[in-house]
Amino acid sequence: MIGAFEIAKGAKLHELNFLHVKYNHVFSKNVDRFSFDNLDDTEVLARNVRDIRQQPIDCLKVATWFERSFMKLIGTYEAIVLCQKDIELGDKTLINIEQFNNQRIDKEQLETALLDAVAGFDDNSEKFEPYVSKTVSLVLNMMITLIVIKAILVALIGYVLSRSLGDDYQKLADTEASLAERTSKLEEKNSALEQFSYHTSHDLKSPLTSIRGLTQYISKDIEHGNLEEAKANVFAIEKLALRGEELIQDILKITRSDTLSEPNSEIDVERLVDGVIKRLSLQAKEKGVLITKQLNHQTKLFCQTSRIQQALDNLVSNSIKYSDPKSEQPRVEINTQSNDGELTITVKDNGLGIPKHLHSQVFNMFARFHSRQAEGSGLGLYLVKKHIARINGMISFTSEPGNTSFILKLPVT
Amino acid sequence: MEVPTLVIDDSDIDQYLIKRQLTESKFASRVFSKFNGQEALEFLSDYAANKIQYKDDYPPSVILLDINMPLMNGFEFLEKFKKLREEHDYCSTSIIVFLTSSSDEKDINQATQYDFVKGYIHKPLDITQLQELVSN
Repeated sequence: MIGAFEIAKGAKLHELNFLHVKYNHVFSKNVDRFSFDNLDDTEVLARNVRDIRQQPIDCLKVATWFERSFMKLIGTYEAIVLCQKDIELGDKTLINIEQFNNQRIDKEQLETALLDAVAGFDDNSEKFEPYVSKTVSLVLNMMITLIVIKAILVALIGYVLSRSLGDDYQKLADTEASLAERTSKLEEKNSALEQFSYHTSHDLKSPLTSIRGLTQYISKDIEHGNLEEAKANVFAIEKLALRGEELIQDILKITRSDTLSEPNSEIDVERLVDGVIKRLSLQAKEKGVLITKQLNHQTKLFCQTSRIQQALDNLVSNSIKYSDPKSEQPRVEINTQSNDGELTITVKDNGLGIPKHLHSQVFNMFARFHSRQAEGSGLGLYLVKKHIARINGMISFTSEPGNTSFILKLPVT
Repeated sequence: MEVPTLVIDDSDIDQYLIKRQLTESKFASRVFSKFNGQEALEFLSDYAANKIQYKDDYPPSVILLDINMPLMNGFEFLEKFKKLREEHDYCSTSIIVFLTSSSDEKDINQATQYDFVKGYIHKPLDITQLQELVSN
């Protein structure tokens, strides 16, 4: 808007200068007529001069402090000076005409003054034009530059806004994705919790229901003097009670495994293995299982002792529980090896093995594969995996009848 | 009414209790015991050998089926048994009653979707309830 306004003002100055030239041309002709005595009325000459003088006056009105400051800045202020000179020349010429009318100067003197005025006005017009052109040109260039800058700024602002909006949109999309992921995880956990609750209630209720049935028969058997049957059923109750107790203990272990705050400590692996063998020696003896060890490690472990202890206890205990009763010598071997900052503990047995089609369920909660052989809670391997993960280790296994190995890979630093 | 009955349950103690109830109440003429769906399926598939060995007691008229069992649970067994019924007519004479300690609604709904499943009984076994289900 300002640029357009300034250009309009420039056009006005050009117009005034054009009028200036035109009136000066008329004035010049009348001066000639005056010289050749074809013009007696000096008032015509005075009117011509006033007409000429009006353009610089109008020009100064057009040029406000803003234009004058701008012209000073770009070196075209001389146009203003020329206007002032032009007015002064006009004033001087009018005075000369008046002095001639009052006979204070003669015709020759007036002729000279008038010719000087024509030349002066002409000179001023000629000098004035380039300054006006330069000013208008600069305003135009500035305006174009401003328009370009404005366009660039608009584009830039648009880009920044769109980027910002794009970023916001991306953040929103990320948040939604993260929320969906969390929801999915929560649903998974909820489903796992439902499964846990289902199996726990079933596995706890089941032995109690059986105990109730057995006690009724025990009373009846005692009443009928069938004491052997009654005695067998008392043992069955004891077995059921032990199963329930084991289940509760395993559930407690799982619950505690999430909140175990025991600090890490340096663990002598040989002492750890010996401890496992000692704790399970009675269970092994009852089943006729031989536990052996082959230790080839050169490092110590640094982790939460109870986690690795429980994990190894469970693995070796499983090997004993699911030993093959038809085997000549059921065996469990605990082997160790260390290399590249890693300790490998392998628990190997020649027991029943895990059916191949159930390998994917081995570490699931309540996974049981040989209930007739031994009635575990089905939580043991789930707990083992949880413990090993907590100490940044890895667990894997291979299994076929007569050859099962659980392999623990544990970091030693 | 004494009918040959197959009990599919992974607990040896529950097997003992059910068998004793079925026998003492004179519900079952013979009780077959299998510890999971897989064992039961093998038993029901081998018609020729079992018919010779058990004569009129085979195939069992009533199958009491638990749900939570290792290797093959009650529902997995049902799916396999459904196919077996489609392939062999002799299987269509056996009726199935769930006998389980699960009182989960999902289990009950899933169990009763099969037309050859006569009913759903919570442990401990109520012989009167079983007799009513079978006679209907």
